[in-house]
Amino acid sequence: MHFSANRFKTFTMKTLLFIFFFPSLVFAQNPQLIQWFAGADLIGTGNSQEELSNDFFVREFELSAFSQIDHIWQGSLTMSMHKDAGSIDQPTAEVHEAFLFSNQAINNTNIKIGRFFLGFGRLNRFHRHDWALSEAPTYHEEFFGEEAVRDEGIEVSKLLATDFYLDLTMGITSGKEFVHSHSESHSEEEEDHEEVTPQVPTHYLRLASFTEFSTQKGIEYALNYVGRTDNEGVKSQYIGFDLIYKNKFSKFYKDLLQFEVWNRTTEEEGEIHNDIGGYLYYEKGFDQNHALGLLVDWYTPEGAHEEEEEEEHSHGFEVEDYFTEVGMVYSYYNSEFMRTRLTLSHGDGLIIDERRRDNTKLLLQMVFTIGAHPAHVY
Amino acid sequence: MSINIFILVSFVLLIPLDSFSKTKVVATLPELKWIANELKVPQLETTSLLSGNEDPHFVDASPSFVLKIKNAELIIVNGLQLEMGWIPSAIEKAGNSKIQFQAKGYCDASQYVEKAQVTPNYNRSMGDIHPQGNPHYTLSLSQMSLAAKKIAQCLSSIAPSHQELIQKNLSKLQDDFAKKLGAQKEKLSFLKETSLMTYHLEFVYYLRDYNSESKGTIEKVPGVLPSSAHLFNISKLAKEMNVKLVLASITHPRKYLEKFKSMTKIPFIQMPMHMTSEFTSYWDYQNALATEIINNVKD
Repeated sequence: MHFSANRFKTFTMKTLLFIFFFPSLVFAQNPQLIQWFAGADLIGTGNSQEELSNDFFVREFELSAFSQIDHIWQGSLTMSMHKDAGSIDQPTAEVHEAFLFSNQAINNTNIKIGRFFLGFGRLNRFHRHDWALSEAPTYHEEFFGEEAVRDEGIEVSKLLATDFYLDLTMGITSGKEFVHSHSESHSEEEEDHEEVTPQVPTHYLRLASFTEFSTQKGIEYALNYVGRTDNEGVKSQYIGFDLIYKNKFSKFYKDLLQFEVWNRTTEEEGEIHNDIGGYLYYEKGFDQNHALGLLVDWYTPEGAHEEEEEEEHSHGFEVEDYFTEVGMVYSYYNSEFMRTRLTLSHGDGLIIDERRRDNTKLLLQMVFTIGAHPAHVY
Repeated sequence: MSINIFILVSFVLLIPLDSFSKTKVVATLPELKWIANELKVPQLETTSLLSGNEDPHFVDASPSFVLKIKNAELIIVNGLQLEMGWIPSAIEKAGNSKIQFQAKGYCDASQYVEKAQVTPNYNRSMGDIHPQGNPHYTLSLSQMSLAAKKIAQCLSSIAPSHQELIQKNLSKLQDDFAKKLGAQKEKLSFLKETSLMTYHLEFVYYLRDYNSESKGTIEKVPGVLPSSAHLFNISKLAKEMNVKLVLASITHPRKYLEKFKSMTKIPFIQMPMHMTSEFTSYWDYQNALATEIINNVKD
């Protein structure tokens, strides 16, 4: 749900009135009734390629409320506003998530109904302010958008009756929206639902397991499948593997390793493309404030897709045959609720003015949250 | 004959395997599991999620915890928001309706604890504060006796047929807590006259048992690493107050304790804040804490 610039001011006023007055009424009765959370993500970018945008801006603002609805169901509502690097447009406000959730309707089962980020992969399951990375790896942006795929539908996650941890997540969503973009052109396209109704809705599956080395050290790994056929009959299938290893001591991770690799097969009028991409991120924590990370990000499209050739991404470039990027990341964890991250990366294989170029990029990110942020499982 | 065997085999196969299994009780901390064991309820299988070596404030909601609680009848938590960063999400993921917050199988052991440092007007500038009260009561013999009362009630509610036995074992356990506290008070009577400091706020209940209190903390703000300026100021204060020892947890950053020691010549000890697997009973754990303090103060 996107808003035009004219409706933006009205929406903002209503939202602010709601934020300032509604909680005071609620808390007067019962402070436990609704939990509120807000967060913002500030980004500064500098590129060696002059054609790419250099900017400092609030990339994202998010306001979330969640609560028990009754003895079975919980409700979660999240509004957000986004801006892209170099954009002079007003930030777009949107309903990020609005879903019902229950872990009590069926034993050992979590159910989500509504609009939500789809539960596959690692990055896709988390809001961007919770990522270990400042921005999406290139393949992720190509496959799943700048943040994550979100849609309207149902997702069921079941702990299987095994002696070891085995969690099966299955979902089916409308498929009207797949790659989540905040650009105006995209939003206009999305408003025409007739055009985007897919032939086969988005369906996905994630099978995750876990190996514990100690209560503070363990590795979670999962196999993923996502499928969809769009309104023009282009069939896309994604197969991925995600992994996270954590070695925690007190407040910080001594070691954090995160890895995803995905293959996309696109079939259009008998022609098949295979695109592969992934990232590897390792972070070494020194104490509760300081950590140093290494990021490797790669993407190798088998063949450029016509619609992608015309599309410019938030990275600000196009990729033809391959793209690789290596980055050093310094994170300063100001506290549990705020962090500052500096990434210096060098990318090779981007196309600017029809020429292959490389680019050195400095990225500053500041994230803070206020209120009651819901905890995540691992 | 053969049809009878078939009926018998079918009957046996149809009985849920759970019918023969023990009642699963999961505690977040090993000392809470120890209390559940001491109440000696028949057919009880107890597990602790943590080993005692962790800082329970900052544990991640590990899938292995989810696995342990998915079929539990009862979960015993320390409460006072000690586990708020991970236990709600582990319970949510487990999808076990028996142990949801405020269900019969959710046992907050802090209910009868005489809470210290309750801070109703709290905001985040105050650091890692627990507004409902300091959660580190499991170091205190007097408060663990009160926690045992709550745990006994919770066990009675899931095993009502053993209520009498549980009550009898609770009385014995509470007597043992009182006797142990009396003995420890004699051993640690010098604490009343001894100036101590702590790194964080863990020892509030422990020192209160011995009519003592910390003269200050190495942390300026709870949960925040001390600045050089604060270390300088607190060192000066420690020397003025003739502090003999600094008490800290094994999870606290050693380099700041070393720095403090180099500035003041005041020794520090780092002890496990929970009953790790090296101790066979909570009494052994209490003995080890007392011995460590006695040895270092007298030195």
